Amino acid sequence: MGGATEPALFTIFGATGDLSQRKLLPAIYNLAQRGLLPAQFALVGYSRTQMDDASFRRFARAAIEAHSRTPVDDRFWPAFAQMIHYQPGGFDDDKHFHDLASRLTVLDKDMGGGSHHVFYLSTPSSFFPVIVRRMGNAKLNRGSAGVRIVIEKPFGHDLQSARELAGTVHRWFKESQVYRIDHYLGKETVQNIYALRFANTIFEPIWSNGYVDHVQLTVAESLGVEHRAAFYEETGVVRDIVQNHLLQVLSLVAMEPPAAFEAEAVRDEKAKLLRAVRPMAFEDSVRGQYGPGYVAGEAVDGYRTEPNVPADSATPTYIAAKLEIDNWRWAGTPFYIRTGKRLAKRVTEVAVQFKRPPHLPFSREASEHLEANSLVLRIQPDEGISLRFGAKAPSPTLSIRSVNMDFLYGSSFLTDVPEAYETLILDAIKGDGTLFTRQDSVERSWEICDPLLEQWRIGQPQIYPSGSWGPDGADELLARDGRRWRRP
Amino acid sequence: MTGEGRIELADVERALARLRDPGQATVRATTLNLVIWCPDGDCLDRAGVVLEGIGGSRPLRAIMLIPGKGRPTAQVASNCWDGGGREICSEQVTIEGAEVALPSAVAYLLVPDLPVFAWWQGPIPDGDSVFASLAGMANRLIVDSDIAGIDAVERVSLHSGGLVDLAWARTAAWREAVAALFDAPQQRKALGRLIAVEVLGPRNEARLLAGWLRSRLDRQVGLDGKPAKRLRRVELVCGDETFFVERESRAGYGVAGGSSLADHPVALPLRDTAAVLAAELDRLGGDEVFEQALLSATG
Repeated sequence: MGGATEPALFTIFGATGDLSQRKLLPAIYNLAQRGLLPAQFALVGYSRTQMDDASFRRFARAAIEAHSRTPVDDRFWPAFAQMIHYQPGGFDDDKHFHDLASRLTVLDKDMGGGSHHVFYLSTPSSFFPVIVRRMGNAKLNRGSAGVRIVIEKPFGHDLQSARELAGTVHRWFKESQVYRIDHYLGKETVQNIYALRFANTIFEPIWSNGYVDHVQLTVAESLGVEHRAAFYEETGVVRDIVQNHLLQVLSLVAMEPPAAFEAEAVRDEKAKLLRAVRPMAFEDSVRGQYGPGYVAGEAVDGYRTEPNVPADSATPTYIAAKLEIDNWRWAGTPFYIRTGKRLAKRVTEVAVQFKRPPHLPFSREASEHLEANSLVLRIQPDEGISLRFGAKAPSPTLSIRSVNMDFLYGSSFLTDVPEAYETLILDAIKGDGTLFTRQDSVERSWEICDPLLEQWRIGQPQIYPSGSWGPDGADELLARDGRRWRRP
Repeated sequence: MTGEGRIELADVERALARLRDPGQATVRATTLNLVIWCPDGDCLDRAGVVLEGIGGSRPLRAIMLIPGKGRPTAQVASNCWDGGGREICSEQVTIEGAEVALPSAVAYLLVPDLPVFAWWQGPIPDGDSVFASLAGMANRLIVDSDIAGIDAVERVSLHSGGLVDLAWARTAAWREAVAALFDAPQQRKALGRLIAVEVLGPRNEARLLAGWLRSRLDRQVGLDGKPAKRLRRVELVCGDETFFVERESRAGYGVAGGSSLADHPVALPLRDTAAVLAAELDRLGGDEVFEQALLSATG
């Protein structure tokens, strides 16, 4: 990872919140410790809580000690702590934003001037419009160098609200200044999809409907809604996972090769691919909701008996769906997606299932156990790649069996894998938007999901036992096409 | 064998990765999952012997289940064999905990997308949810009608597509030897007059052999069974002619012959459970000949 060199001021709105403590502060610490931040760098925490710089430094240290992938180094800490500042303030008064602007001006001067500004909105999305407006009023959207604003999902809850949010943001910021973060895209193994597809000659020629029978994308969680029931009741599985993470990963798997690994070239190809994805159809989807059961040996409750969930909730915690891509490369090759909570285990993977050989010269007995080739990209956990191919079983007679060859990512490169937030924060500081989502992709993703969400306003999800791989309907969805889900 | 102490299920994959030596093992090959139900210490010992016998011939992940109490925990171990300059390793995960929670532990720990063989040791309880869950996960369900009873196995066969009966598998060499008695045209005519089979051996294996003959020949064949611990003799009554296959005591071969057939040696290898089971791990899906034999044996 190449470091940032130009002076930068990094402001976190909602600096004392959960995301800041768990992800942002540890990520910035790790970047600093690895020497990847500019020599002239300041972190400014902004939040309602009244405290001074020293208190916020103690707060930050506690958060980093609790959540960082590397321990706090006492020799390094004093230098890092000097970079940390705090500005108390709410979102309800322009004055607080003017105070922030004044503080940033002083810090910029102290660093020699000409700093880039990165504003990270680590707050509930309902605050985005007011924060952006007050930033504009305080002229925080302007600067002598680059000014960037980082927004966490959700980017709206449907197409209309996404457009309204974008309209508000674009009133003060140009699209090139807006960095919509989806932490999935910062994962090493998601980025490895680019490398696998475009740094090798052996895969791309067969990466099409000519050789690929279908693709399965699985994002399985073993956890339930935990403490997020109120949020989840409003959101459901499509808004939580499909509209953002899943469609983004799908676009990486299916897009055309970009001319260069640069922000606009990559995002153009992703947007082009999403435009070719047909909106999700009610008849090609199955919704589920987890019931009680056992996950990894542990007894767990069903969704409807989770705290703060109505006993008659119809909120789906699972979806399986068939997506069609109407372009030259993928026409006729379905992409099956499934994601859900309280499934048998936590796993995210992309399985490319190839077609069977057009002719097998072996006897039926010799090849009856042979399955089609598949290439599986495991994104989490146990990141790696698995290739299934036919091999002769050791025996005096010819018997061909499928075997798996696993490439274990972590064992191949004996270095610490950076957290997704480290990659993405560094990119935002450097002004590289390649791994961030552009507004046209956001809107297209809602266009793909909205028709289904509308139809799902009525009816009930199928209940599946916790610890299973989802409702029976998901199996039937593939069975009607003569296919079956792989077991991740 | 290298291993670690008792750990949480969530830590199993990491513990196995440590055993694989992360400094070198960037690539591994695994061919199947073998889930073994071990209701008592004897079964656990037997499973250990069988896994040792399978050795490096089929690199696998074995998940051994011990019903007990409380939240399941695990012990992991890795067995490696020298494969001509390469190390061939199998993984062993032993899980102990409340019976009802064990299937979810299995689902959590299966190696993705590889076939699942579930070896159920002991009697088959009617309507048991744990048995049903494991059978539902398995590509092949392995039972032993000498222990579980042939009627229980027949009941299971109605719901399981890939059923393996170790008792049936043990008769494989005998079936080959019996079939070979009738390879020549003269003896083949006698086969048309087969009316009964006399078997000195385990009762279930005798019934399966009779069922096999009935289903292959598509007609009634009587059975006269005399119990013995192992299969020792099979005699076929074809009208006024008789044919036989008989094992020499404790030898891996036997003698076959008959009214119009000179006595000659036949191979009847003494295969232990590991060898019988290992051979079944090379197959996937159902065994139509067995299913029909079972139906004829119990019908």
